[in-house]
Amino acid sequence: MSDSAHAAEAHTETAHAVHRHPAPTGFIAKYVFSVDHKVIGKQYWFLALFASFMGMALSLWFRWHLAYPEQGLLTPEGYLAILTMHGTIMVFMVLTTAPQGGFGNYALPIQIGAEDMAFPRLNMLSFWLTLLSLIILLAAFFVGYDAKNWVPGPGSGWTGYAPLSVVEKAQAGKSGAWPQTMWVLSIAVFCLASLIASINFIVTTLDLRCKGMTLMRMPLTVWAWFVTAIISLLAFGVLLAGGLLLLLDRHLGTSFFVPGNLFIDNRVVTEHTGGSPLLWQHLFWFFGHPEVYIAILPGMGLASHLLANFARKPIFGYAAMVYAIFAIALLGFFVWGHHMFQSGMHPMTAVVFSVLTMIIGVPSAIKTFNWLGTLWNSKIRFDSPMLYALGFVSLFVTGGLGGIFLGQNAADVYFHDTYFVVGHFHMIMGVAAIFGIFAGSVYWFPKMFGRMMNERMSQIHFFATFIGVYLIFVPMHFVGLDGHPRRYAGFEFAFLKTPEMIAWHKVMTHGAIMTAVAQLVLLVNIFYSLFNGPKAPANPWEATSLEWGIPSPPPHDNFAGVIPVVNHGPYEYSVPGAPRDFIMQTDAPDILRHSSSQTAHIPVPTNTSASEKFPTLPPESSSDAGGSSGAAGGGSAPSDSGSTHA
Amino acid sequence: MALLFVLLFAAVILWSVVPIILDPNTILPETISVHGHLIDKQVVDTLWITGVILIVAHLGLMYTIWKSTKRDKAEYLEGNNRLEITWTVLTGILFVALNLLGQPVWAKMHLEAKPKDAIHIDVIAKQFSWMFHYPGPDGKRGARAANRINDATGNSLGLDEADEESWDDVVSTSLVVPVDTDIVVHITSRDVLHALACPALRIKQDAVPGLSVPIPFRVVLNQQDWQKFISLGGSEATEWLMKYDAEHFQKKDATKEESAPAAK
Amino acid sequence: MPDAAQTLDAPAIPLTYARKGGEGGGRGFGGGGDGDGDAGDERRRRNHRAAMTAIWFTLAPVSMFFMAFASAYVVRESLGGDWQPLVLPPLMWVNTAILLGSSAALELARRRLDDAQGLQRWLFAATLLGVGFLAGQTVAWMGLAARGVYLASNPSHSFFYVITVAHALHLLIGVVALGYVTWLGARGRVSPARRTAVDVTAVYWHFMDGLWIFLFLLLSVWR
Ligand code: HEM
Ligand SMILES: [Cu+2]
Repeated sequence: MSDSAHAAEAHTETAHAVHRHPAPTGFIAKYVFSVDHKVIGKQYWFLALFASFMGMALSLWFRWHLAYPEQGLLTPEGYLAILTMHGTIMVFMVLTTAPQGGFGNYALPIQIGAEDMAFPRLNMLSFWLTLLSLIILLAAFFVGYDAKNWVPGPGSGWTGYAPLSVVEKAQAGKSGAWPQTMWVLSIAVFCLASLIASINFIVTTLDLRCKGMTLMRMPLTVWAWFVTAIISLLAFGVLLAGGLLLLLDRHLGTSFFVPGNLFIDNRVVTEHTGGSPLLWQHLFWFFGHPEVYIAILPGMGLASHLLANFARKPIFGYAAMVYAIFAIALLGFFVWGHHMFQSGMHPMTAVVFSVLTMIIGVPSAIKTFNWLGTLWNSKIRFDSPMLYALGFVSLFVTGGLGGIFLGQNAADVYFHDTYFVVGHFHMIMGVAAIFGIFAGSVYWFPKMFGRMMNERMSQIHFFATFIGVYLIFVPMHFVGLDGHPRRYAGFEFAFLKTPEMIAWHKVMTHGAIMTAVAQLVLLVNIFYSLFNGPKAPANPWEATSLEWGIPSPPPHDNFAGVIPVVNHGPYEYSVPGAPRDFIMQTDAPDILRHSSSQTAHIPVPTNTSASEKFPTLPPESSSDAGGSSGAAGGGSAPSDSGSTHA
Repeated sequence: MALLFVLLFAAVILWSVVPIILDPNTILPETISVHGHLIDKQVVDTLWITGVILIVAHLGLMYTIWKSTKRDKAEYLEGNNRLEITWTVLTGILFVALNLLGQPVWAKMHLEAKPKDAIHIDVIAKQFSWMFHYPGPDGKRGARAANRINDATGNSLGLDEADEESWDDVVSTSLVVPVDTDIVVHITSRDVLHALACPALRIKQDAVPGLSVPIPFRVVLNQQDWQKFISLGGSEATEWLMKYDAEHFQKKDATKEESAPAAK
Repeated sequence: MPDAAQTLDAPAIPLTYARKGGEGGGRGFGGGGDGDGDAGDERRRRNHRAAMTAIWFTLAPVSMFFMAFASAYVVRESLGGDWQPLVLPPLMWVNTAILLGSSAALELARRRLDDAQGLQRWLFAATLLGVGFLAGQTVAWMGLAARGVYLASNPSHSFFYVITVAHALHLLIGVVALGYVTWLGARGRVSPARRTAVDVTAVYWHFMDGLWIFLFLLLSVWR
């Protein structure tokens, strides 16, 4: 492009009134049927907050029962129903909504310099469908109401294995009737919501990045959300298809998943012939394994982001981190069979899935190594987001190691369907991913609500939760090693009734209570700070990414009608020679030279190693950036006065 | 704060590792099947490797956190490609090699031809108990059919009275097998999915209606060789499982009936 | 709750900004490019690009959805037992031809974006043929039902209905989109510069066409 064209452009630009979306007025348009990604992000976040407390209450209920079965708090079928609801709420309504729908929606457009998501109305639709899905799911508690024998929910577990999830009478009370149908419907609606949302994420990331935001300058959070969206895009369609087949089996008498000649409720089931229960498992886990990465990838991205931020160091091996995310996403679609080693599928298939599963452990390990590399020779600031990020690393390691046992078909002979599996996935998905949510909450709270959270309360919450969850989930591995099967409502077997086993279960239950109490601290902190927290500065954490260059909370269209230009990579911390220990992505390209040079529009490499790694803009467009910024009156002269550390 | 973290991660190491060292029973209960020892070896090898990784990773966290308090400024360090490649290759080799070590026992259980002259026993799951269908002296199990099932008359398997092969069959709610003999259990279900869990035998298999999965095993007893049979537990509750326990060794206590709760 | 809409304080950190319209956005995997041209045009171009990216990515879950059915079909068929192969009604060949015709008409329309009359005629033809396909499918289903082929009468029948009806529902969305584009065309709101709606619809429609051929082959060959 020629210089004269640029001059003309700058000219027209100043002549034109800056186009801005008008901010909506009125409570409903602003907070309820909003199309603003920031409001939708908060809506997702509040939905997940509600759902997580719901799920936690359920878990306390059956955890208490497991430690004190003699008190008869739950019947066996009641136990299964509560377990199913707990798992479904947590996996879908918390782990899939908060990290992606919540933080992704809130921060991704800002971090890439966009005013909003690509399709704001579709964004709103995804949220409302998600809410609808939650409502349908919660209805499953009640639609089976029966004065005599009320089972509060379906009993098929979050995996909905057929034929239990199909044949109504296979479940106690009315559990297998409407509650089970509600469960399938809820998931189907959830699939639609997630599909729409993920298209929006992908298009936004690909097409709405601001000038200078090359792919390899995107924060790792953005990479994680982007790849998570791709995974969702490919996984949820399959679950939707499976769910529809399940509904047809349930209500229209087809036989996809149910074999013939079942004997249930004192009669031969004649409605079905020749179906395959394993077929459902394949469809479910084809979705189910990628789903666990949908839950954890945003947390991994955020942990990387925070470790760099608070260790005041560039992330170690940025490119390797990006490749690892892609490797996980890709391999994640070829390992689903590890959930089915003992399912009766062909044993040779199990060998293949097993080897692939071990290989997927490698990118996970790479991430861990790189996190340690980032902490190496760092200067850590222990602000509250960092506490959760460090906790995340520990939990991810501990939980991931369980996968090394389970991923081996031979060892899984012993561990399948025991508490060891439960310990594994709770450590990693039930806690590490949740710590990602905690971290995101305290990190972005100032930006989202314009107020700081109380540091002391966050610290108490962190330590109590961290200790609590280790108290719960490490012993789960121990009782699993002892052979305790999962999904039992009590100590049904003589060998389980050893004093040791009972003691471990009590430890877990009391750890759970401690953890739950700690969550009240978080809740108080959130609602107290929402109204009474100190006003947040624009950049309380002295971070580099774009959301920290705009006020807290940001204006309606994020950048108030001017779109930023990115000149730097996302993790330029402690760059030698820089005026302060972080270079924001939007800082002038010549920030390293500003004190010695007045020719601000001549681009210079920020530093040699960085410019080798990250594709920088061609000089022409960089100078254009400087020129435009001058025209916009934004002022490109860097100054040291920017530090606003709280 | 750094000190707190060092203590916290030290506690993680202790809490995850010490109970296993203190109480070997927590590692794995004793096994009585031949292949069980191979599985145990695999598990214990994995336990060593993962244990070392857990400890090293947390020590690494503790060290870097502690060292960070001694610095005034972070080092500007963007990565190291040679390191990346090294640890990628090494972990890859470690994980895959570990996996391959486990394949022989998997092959023994699932891929190799089933032993000749084995006793074949059908294991049938139902809500909420297990049934074991022995062939009897003729070595043949009679045909079963869902439409003949009648729990009230005790024909829970749907055997055919007219079928000669079924006349000598034994149907039991507990599994009793001879020691030092090849056994093949064929696991299936008559209603929904169940999971057969025999910790002491190191057998775990989903019971799937319409599918019969054969698993071979052989019981060996170390100290009490004089025993000919071993009772592998009773149908006590919703599903059947058992664990070796010296007190349960009784000469041929076949059907130690325990009150089974009615199907719920 | 604190008010989200605030006036823009002076940023605490020095920033470089470009005026709106000056930003090029990341262009696919090419990374952030530079902007050019007049702001309104640029905005339209960006919207077009976003819509095209979206529709291409939409094809991914749709494919996965049908691949799930297709692989379930293959697996279920291989179990044998109660499977009775279903001979597809010959009418479906006619329907296939109609659908192909519809795609062709849409392509012809897309070559006439500057000829309002021709455009309108071909868009209308494409829509009509789309409706024709759906009608033809309905007739085929009714014929089968008359022969006693119901959703639950055999697993092969179940798969036949699931796959063809799911495809028809997806196609219905396409027909609605075609109808909308035709309406736009009739009001003179489709032109070489304003082609997003017609381009997006075309991608979806051609894909549905190709998908149908795949499904049709699957159902008629893999029995
Ligand atoms: C090192 C990588 C990992 C490996 C090798 C691995 C391996 C496995 C295997 C083999 C199972 C099945 C165990 C069984 O049912 O017998 C399993 C279960 C599970 N894993 Fe992982 N896993 C890994 C990481 C993760 C991550 C990152 C998450 C979640 C964020 C996760 C979540 C789960 C869940 C939810 C289940 C249980 C599903 C159920 O049966 O209800 N895993 N894992
Ligand atoms: Cu998995």
